[in-house]
Amino acid sequence: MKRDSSSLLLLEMTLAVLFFALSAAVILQVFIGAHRKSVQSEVVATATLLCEDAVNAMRASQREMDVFFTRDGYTKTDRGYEKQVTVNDRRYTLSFTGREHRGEAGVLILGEIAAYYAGDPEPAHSMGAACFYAGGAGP
Amino acid sequence: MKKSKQSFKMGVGVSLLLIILVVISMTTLSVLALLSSVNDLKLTQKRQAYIKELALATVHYESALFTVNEANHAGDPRQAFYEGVAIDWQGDTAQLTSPFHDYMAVVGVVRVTDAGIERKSYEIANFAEWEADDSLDLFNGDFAFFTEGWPDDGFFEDIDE
Repeated sequence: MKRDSSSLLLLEMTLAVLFFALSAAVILQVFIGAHRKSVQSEVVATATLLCEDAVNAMRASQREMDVFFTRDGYTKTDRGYEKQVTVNDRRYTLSFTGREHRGEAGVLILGEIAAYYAGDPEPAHSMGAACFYAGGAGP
Repeated sequence: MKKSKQSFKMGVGVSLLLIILVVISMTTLSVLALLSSVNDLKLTQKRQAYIKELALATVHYESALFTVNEANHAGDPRQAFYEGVAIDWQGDTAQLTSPFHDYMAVVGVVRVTDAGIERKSYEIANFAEWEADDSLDLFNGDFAFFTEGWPDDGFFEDIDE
């Protein structure tokens, strides 16, 4: 009788520990999921800001495409211009692809700027970038 | 002996209760954290989409500026100079359609006359862009443009002023 009671207690304890372990595993997964979403959100927000900053700087500079991107620390590649940026210990690559249309009245820079996070093949954010300035290029 | 056995059983019961409480609170916390993160991501993506659309509208506006500037400069406003924009003239207004996406930029172009003499100078009277199924303008306004010729005495001027 005494032995039966001990076995039951042991079984009960084992079940409790198993339940606790299982719950802990599930909860941990949920926490990891939450953390991933949080990181994803931060990456998207930062990538968006970086692209906006780049476009605003381009529009404000009123310079030729080559001049602006070279002065702003971009390197010329086959696809266009690229620049590495680190924000909150996360590495992003800003990439601009586009063309410069020269007319009689002015110059139109037209293209797309994209921010890639840590070598991801898909950009975290990309958007159109355009800048028209009348006459010649700025200083 | 019997008393200690009872105490032991009670202790086990209390421990189990505590474990269950811990599990419940941790589950609640983790679910709340997940919900908060998902909500945050959704808001960020919404903002991202809006900024993308706004950037696209800006692209169209800059393209329209380029097109009309070129038209003014060449003295032939019936011709679209920028290859990326389709232009449909109807009297003194023109509709510019961009090939990039499903959006449309509408530009009203006004003929400028000076002391009864018609000048080949055109202005962007209004620029608006919206989603096809959205009544709210995404980007709208009156913009500065040349009215006094090009290029020596040209200057930017808001047409409302």
